[in-house]
Amino acid sequence: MVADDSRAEILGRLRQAVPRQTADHAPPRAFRTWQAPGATEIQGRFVQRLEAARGTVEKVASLADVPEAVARYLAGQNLPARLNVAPELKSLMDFAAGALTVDDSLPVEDGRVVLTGCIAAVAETGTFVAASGPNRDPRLNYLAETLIVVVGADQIVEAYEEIWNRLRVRTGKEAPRLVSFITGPSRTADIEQTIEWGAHGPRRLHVLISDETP
Amino acid sequence: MEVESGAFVEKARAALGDATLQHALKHIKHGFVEARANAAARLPDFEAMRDRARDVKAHTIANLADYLEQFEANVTALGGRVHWARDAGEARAIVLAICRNTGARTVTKSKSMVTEEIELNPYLEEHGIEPIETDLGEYIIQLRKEKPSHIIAPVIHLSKDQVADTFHEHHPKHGFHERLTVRSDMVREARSILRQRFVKADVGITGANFLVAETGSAVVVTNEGNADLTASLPDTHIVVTGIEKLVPTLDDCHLMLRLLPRSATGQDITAYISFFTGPKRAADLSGPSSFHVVLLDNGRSNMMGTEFEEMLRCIRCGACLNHCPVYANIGGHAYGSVYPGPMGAVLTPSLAGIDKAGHLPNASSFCGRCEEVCPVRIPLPRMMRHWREREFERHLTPRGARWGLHAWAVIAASPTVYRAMQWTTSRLLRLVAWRGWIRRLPLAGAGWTGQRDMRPPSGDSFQRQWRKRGGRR
Amino acid sequence: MPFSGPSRLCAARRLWHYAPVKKPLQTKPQAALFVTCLVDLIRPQVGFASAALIEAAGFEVVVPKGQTCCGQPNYNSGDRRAARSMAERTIEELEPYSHVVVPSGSCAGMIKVHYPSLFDEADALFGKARALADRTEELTVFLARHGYTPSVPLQATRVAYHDSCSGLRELGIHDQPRALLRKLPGLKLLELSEPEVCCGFGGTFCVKYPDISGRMVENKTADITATGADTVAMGDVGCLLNIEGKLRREGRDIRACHVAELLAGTLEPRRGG
Ligand code: SF4
Repeated sequence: MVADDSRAEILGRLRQAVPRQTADHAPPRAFRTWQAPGATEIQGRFVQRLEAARGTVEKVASLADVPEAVARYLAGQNLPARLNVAPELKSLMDFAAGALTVDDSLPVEDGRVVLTGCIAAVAETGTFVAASGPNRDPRLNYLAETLIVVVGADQIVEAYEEIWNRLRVRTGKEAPRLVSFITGPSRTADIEQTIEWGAHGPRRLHVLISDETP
Repeated sequence: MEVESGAFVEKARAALGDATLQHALKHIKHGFVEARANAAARLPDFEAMRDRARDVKAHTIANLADYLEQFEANVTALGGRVHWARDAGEARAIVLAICRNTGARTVTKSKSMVTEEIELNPYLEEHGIEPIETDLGEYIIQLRKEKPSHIIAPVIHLSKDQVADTFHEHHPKHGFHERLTVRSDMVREARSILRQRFVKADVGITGANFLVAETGSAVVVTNEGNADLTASLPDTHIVVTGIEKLVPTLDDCHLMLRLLPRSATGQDITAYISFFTGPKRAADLSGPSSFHVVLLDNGRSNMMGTEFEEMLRCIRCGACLNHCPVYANIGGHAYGSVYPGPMGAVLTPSLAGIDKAGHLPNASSFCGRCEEVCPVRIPLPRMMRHWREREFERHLTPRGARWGLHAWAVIAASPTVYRAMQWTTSRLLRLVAWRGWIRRLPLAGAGWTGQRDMRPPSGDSFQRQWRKRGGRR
Repeated sequence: MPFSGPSRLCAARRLWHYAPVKKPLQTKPQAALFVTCLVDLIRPQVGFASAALIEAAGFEVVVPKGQTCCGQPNYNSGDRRAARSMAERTIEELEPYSHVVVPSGSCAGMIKVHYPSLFDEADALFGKARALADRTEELTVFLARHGYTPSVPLQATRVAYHDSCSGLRELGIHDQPRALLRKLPGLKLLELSEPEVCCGFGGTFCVKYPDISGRMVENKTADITATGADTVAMGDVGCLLNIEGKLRREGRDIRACHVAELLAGTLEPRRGG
């Protein structure tokens, strides 16, 4: 078969050649947890970096406060009080409380709002991490025009590497189909190297840091 | 891979005279060069990380076959498929076969230099499948039927007005008739057109910035989020990438990810970094049910064990283009290769043959700034010089230059001949000077005096004068 | 004659003042001046300025008489074999000297960085090349290391310094020439806005790709002009010919010189025309 030939030929060529670069470099271990410059405590660093990436942040005491905070944010942005709530959050809070209308159709059209959770967040760059899973739909993160993310205060880790510990990938568990590190709103600088927000994904990214973890 | 470097000199001259292009290229300095310097300065460990990244990639390349097999095993275990393509033709055929199997009519694509390298789009079109580029820059290029002029900023050669014209020409069929001139409006219009295309696409094709051997993940970096939509909405996700993109572990990958955006655009991180690992799991709510990785060789394995091996470390950040004084003055199209600038000067001849890419490794003043900024410390000037050596060995160097070099070697081999030559040249130069300056010289000298004057020697050669004055020798 | 008589005489007299003594003074260590073919042919006065400076730094100057070209043009054009034999000649020629001084970043870089790469590690010449690399210094590095302090008349007041790429990147020369220039009382040192960008000389590059090279040097002269300098100094005669020629073609009233000329106080007076 051609395909097998190709595989064998490519691997054969690679194995035949005598590499000129150090082959015996000890399997390189990356930097251990590593603290980016910035505020001294982790949440402060996360907020600093997120704001530098054009995200906005608000703190809430508990998950019960989320709907109201969302309603306030949407009103403040002059957006309709209508949103898609990600599956993992739906059962955790009462959206009637914030006078919000929940619309669970896939948010394909312009102007849609999505409220979602995350599996973790990274202080290093103000990043939140989305993943696929049984009760998660990561598509929502990319389709929304306004994305509101609930991050539990204890979900924030120092550096990217720690995410994989949380997912237990390092201890043998397979990686989810998708793990996505998202930092600030979607953007493009293709036209004259000038940044425009909301290229394909969210134009606005608002993070609610909750002392209670979803 | 199509390479048209033969007309480099003419194209470069045209580029230098193209006012719109020259204006567009001015954005490199602020957009990339200063941004990178600031990002590097913000990160105290930046230089140490570059050393580490060089070592990680060197180690990976030296053990590439093992890591490729590990990667393949992990992808397969999760229900994905890995395909091996010796050359561009095989890669195209594999992609087409997958598309045909799914009955695909339209394919969304996120930016991928490898698919540019294998010229995938025209091939799919010929076979009745419509490819839709979704990165804004690539989308504009596709509408204009051009090639990207930069590996990370495909339309850096265009002005806003040119983009406005392009949209105005192509968007009426989507119901947008007005010629927009405000950048944010233009982005919004393209977004809403592409949103519809995303939703309807049958297959999504992405490249990969990295492949992680220990998990079988393909990692894609974007600022727009288009790769994520490309890979999340259709039922089939195809990753088309080069065999050199491997890194051993997730930790290694994050190390690279700290360097890539900082080197490329001066961002600490891009808006999106996604790890795609296998197809949708049974319990997942969404995601493509089939996941393919096409691994392209196309000349890469031939670089192993040669003086060009280190080029396989390249992570395609584009920093060498951004900092190249030649690139910054002529842009990417003059090179006639999808890989322009310093990295292209080394890679293009490796992939397409030095006979087709002769000008590329020569069009460098060897200023060394590319090597200085390369995150994985690839000695680009040294490798360009190696290409010049190969050319010289194969008698591909232009005859005049060869003759001149031979002559100079003969002259320099004998101090007597050398001194006679210096004396004659000194006399001649002083003879052709007029009022203390030389304004025009023949032959190779014409290249000099076409651009600038020359001051003739102030007298006999230093060594001659030194001897006459009784200096110690 | 290209030069007006009196000024040339003045310069020559000053140089003569520094001219070496014939008989070696046993107390002074010797330094070989590898003058480079460009200085030798086109800017002999840079050779004399360098010799004067080396001497003022406490060394006796020797100009090994068999020296020709370091081989850089052939090396960078892919003619490795010729480059190797030129390197071989130069290595032999400079073998007897414990200090070799080169008034050029790129030729010093050729010897220090590239010569060793021309030979197999098993080759005896590899060791010799390495040893020569260790003994060789670019002029401003040599002067700075020996704590040289110029005491010469000031010949320019607003001076921009241009870094040659090889000097800057291969040899890390940045602070030394600046520090030396700052020792000239009354001299104001000016920085270019893009000091790390190439002037477009690049050896054979400038004649192989004249249009691109021409634009690069045009950008450079614009940068120099914007500093308001009356003089631009540098450490490589390649860059010097390029920048000086462009300044002249553009009709700009800015002098270009080798840094050694300023430090030795042997810069020719401004000439009209
Ligand atoms: S050669 Fe280095 S600088 Fe250039 S694109 Fe590759 S990694 Fe980046």
